[in-house]
Amino acid sequence: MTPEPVPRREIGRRTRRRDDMRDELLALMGNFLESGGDFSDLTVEQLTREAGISRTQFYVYFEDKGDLLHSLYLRTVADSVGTIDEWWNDSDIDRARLRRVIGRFVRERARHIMVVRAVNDSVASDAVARRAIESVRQRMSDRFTSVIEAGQQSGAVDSSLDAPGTASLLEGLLVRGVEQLVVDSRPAHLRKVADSMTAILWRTLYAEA
Amino acid sequence: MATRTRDTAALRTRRKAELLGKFLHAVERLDLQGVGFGEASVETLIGEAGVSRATFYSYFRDKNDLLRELAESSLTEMLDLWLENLPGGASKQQLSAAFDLIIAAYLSRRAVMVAAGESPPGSEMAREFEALIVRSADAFARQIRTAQAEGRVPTDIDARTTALLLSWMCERGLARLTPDSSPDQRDMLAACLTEVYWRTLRGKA
Repeated sequence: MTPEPVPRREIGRRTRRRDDMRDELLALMGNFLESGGDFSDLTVEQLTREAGISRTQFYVYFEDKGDLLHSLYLRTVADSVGTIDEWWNDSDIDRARLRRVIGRFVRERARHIMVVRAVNDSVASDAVARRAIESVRQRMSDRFTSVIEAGQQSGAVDSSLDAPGTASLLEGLLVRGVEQLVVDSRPAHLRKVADSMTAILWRTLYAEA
Repeated sequence: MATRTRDTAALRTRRKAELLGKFLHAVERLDLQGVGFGEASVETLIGEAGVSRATFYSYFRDKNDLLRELAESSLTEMLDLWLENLPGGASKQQLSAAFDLIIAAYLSRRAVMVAAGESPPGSEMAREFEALIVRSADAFARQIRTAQAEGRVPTDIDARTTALLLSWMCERGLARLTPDSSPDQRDMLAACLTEVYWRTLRGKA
């Protein structure tokens, strides 16, 4: 029997129990990738065996293992956006606080780098996943634009900067820059990445003269 | 004998450069027709470039080898533009003019750069592309260190990490320019890149 395809979703759970199983599957996939596993080697059978559920039950939560990977990625992105939000929600940010937020962001990205890499790998052959991820980045960029615009209105950010253009570049810095640089995840290196990232963001947006 | 060997090697190098030029244009033309590098077969590529199969295989192992060579020559060209146009102590106007040149160079190599830059992580092509960006960033880091030693750039930033972050940011910014981007969009990208680089390294003014 072919299970009914369930639409990709990351919200809309019906029961608490379902939520827990969903979390468990996400955690299993996360552990597998973060311990160095290759996404293409992972099977739905393996996941269901470890979670102690049937194949049919698996398909209640996820369309396939690609959908599971995608949901895991969205969750890690949601977590990082939550971290960045501490900066974006603070209309009176100072440099030390920005450095702390960026430091936490860099450490989180380093922890999830294998998930990010697996997703980047999968989008090469999955147009649906690619569009979904592009839309996540677009939303991040749009939010960043409104943060810059609000800063320009309050006088914290130089009004001569083009808000959407600068937001798009700096979003690329946060996403691509960090993805590339946190492969070396030694704490001293991550601190260096956070220092440089903070310098670029602070000087571009806030620094006086 | 030694002289002859040198001549043959020089000839091969020149011939290879010509072939890369032909393939570069072929890849861009195919891309505009909706045939991305990933979908194009060697047959399609050599047909579009007007190169024989035998010639192709005497210079390139396979399609990926061609892409690697195309990406390398493209990035070398852009790095040369950067270095030639930004002598020590360059002004903000010079920086902005250098970005104009880089953007124009990128757009004529866009299909190659996107195909190389978006190869699956961990693949040989992705590692090669990363190494090429790191090479450009290292050259940029040397410029930053010189400027720090001469007192033009503050010494509180790590030259290499900053150069790498800015280079990846620039690579993303360029990759987002579409082939049909308007001159206004290009100018806007150049202006934004100029502001981020200049403010980070030299301050606001």
